[in-house]
Amino acid sequence: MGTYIARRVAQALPLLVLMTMVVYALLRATPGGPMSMYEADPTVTAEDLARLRAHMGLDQPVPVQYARWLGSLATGDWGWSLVTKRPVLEMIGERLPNTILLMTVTFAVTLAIAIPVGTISAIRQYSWFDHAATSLAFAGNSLPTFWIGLMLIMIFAVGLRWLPAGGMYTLGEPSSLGDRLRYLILPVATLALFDATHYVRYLRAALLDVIRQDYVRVAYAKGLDEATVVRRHAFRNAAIPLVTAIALDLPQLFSGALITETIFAWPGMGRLFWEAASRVDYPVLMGIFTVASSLVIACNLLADIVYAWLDPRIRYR
Amino acid sequence: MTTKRTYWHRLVGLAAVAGAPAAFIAACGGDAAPASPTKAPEAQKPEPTKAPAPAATTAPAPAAPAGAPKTGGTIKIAIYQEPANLNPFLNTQTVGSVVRNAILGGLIRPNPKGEYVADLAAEVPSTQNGGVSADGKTVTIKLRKDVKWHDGKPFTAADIKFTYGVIMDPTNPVTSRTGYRDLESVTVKDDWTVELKFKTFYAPFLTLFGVILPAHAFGGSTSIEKAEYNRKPIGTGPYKFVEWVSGDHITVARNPDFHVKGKPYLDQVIFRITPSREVGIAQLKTGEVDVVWNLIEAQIPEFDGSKDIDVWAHPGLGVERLILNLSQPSGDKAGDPASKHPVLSDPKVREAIELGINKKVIVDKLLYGKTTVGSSPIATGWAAPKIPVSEFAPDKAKKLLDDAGWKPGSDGIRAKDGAKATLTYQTTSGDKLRELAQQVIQEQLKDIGIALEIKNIPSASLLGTWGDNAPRAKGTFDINMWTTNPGIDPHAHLFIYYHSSQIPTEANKGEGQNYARLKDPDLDKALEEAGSVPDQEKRRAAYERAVKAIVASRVHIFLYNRLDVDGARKYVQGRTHNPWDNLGWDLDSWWLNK
Repeated sequence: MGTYIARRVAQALPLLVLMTMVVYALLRATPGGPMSMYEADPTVTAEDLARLRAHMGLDQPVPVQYARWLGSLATGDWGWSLVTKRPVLEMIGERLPNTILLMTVTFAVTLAIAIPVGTISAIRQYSWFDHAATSLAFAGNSLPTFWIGLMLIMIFAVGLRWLPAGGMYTLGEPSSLGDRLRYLILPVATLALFDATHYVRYLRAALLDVIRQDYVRVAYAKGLDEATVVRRHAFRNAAIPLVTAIALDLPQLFSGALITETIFAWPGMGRLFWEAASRVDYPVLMGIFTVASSLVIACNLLADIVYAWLDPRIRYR
Repeated sequence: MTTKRTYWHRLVGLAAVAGAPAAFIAACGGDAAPASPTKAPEAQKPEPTKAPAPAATTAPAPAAPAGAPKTGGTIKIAIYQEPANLNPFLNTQTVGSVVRNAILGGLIRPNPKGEYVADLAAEVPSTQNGGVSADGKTVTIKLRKDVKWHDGKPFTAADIKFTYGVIMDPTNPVTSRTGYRDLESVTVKDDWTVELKFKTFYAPFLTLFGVILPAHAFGGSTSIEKAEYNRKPIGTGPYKFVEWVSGDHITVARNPDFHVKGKPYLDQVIFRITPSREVGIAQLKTGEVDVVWNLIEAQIPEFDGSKDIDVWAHPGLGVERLILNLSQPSGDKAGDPASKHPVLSDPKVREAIELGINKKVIVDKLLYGKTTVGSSPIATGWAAPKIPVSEFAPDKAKKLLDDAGWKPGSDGIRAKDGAKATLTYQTTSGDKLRELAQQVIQEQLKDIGIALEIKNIPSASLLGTWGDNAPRAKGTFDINMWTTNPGIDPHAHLFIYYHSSQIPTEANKGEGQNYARLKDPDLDKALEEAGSVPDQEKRRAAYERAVKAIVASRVHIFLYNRLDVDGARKYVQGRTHNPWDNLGWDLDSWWLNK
């Protein structure tokens, strides 16, 4: 197992470098660029533009710029934003806690909904509950999050005035736990309703597979009650696809949910990405991409390791 | 697999949401990339006209006050962009100056009429009061003696000298040195007198030092790119900086030592950073914010019938226009000013296009009658000549075209010498107001025998540069439609858009914004004169000649004046619209009637 992990990590590094190279090339191929923020200002002359371009290193050939970026990353320097003139790592560090807060609460709520609903749906297949749950899951999975989010704002914030429309806390007032919770409800609901729908579908399908197996029938035949059978025998085997899904979704805990953060004015990583993208702030974009790519690779590895733990038949060498 | 599907869901959604803000940005900024300055950029604020009364003129009386202003309270203003930083010399964003207006101050600023008034200067220097030498190359500025920085240190002439040092320091990526690079020296005569000596006369000299930095806050170093100050400014303005939570809000609080006695009225102003205008509107409706900065015209009906919310809509400086290309739009000679557009190089065609467009209908139907019809590149201000609005006369247009030899074909589209009057018509894609206006204009010009093919492209491509191969820069377009506007001194704007030296070509590496490729020696002469004489009256006369030549050339057809739109709860009082500055330019006069 140890050598397996070591080998995977060793494979991941060149992959990561390759990904940053591709992303960098794509970014540089898009129209616009950091200089476009100065275009509309008639006092910014060609002389000023040339000076600014040189200052930001944009006058160098693109491969040279990439090599410089990679070189300083290797020494731990993530670069400075072209727009805010601040260290990229500092900007990411400000947003990360907000995103982790939003996404972990969402994750907990998602699982709290998905696991019981998916389980009951499977063991009571074709009951009214199953029908209701699968239809809702289907509908929920089809509705875009921005639509759900906007509807929730229209109903609960603008219409009923029960909850705030956006932000993380009430401005100009001392912060309290209750206040923070009120601001979490709508964005978490938007994300959790959406995410829960496909976990429900996964879990239900996997459980339905498993509970038809002979060993489950044997367990029933031994006289075990349903709860024990499901918990001890069925669920553990059914969990493998769910774990895959969860592990691959884990990077989102850090990268955030762009649309939900945008709709609810949540100052997280998703919005940082959008702002950097709209201003074509290469160092910030590259920083976010590098973090996100590393997490995806790490979480894939994590999923493989968890498989081995869940199913002793799986062996890695 | 789930992850991938989820990912694509989010990405598709992102595209949908992303499209919207991009369109809005384009709608408003027009000429701008995402960080869109719709107003005169900071470095380019005011200009002298008459000798105005010094100080105390910072703000006129509230527009419609319900009694005397009340003191106290907090106002929350939604801003849909986050300032990159609050150092005026490091970014050109409008939103940056909205926040800075509360905190920082400058020597001279424009009032709503477009006149210069003193802010930190004791008076506006002019040839009459001895502040400006006869050749215009020496300017002496007297400062107010009662101004303190927010940390209690006195404001003096040394701060002006330091600010100049910051602007010229080669290690700083300052956005523009225009004007400052024409200075030979900045000399501190005494604590409250500073003398500017110019190498060559710089006409908009009163726009310089629109913001001043405190020398003592930088420990003597003029190298400021990474200074803490950029996010924690110290100013002389009505409010002091309190905190900035990234992506969430910026708070400022009353400056008790503000140099205008009795002001400001509010205890606190919080700028709430929202990801889009829509989020700001939702928060205004729920009462989470009191004011929403910078809406677009199409959002005005959002507030129809609201009892609690006022829409502040006033004609601004931006003029929505058609830009007509005089050079060949394709082939080897594309964009070459020596080549001729097969259709648009004929002045009769351009005249017919203007006569064929009913601008009033666009204003009345698409802009709710809230703005004015466009007629000139300078809609208002000291340099704006009176230019009559073009008439809507389709019959006259048809006759003009007939007489010029443009005969209708079997499909009703006119042609001459094998050139057919079918033109592509581009603006920023996804902009509702612009798309509607396009349909109206397309219909109207079809009536006179000119066919328009609408081919819209994203704003980043339409409003791009030479390096981006943007059609306007390369001259590979027939008709473009977007908005731009002059600053309070129209010099830079008019020169860059209409002087023949400003045609982007291979030779000048795409410098300049004379996208229409207009070459008019008389116009060039008028623009050069307006930029080189110290006498304001002579400048005004030169601009009148220049504007008349521009309007007659019809390389830009001015459709309507864009609106400055903001939304606010009715209890927000004391605000005045100033087309030359941004919302909150008079934040010291705002108060809460509740």
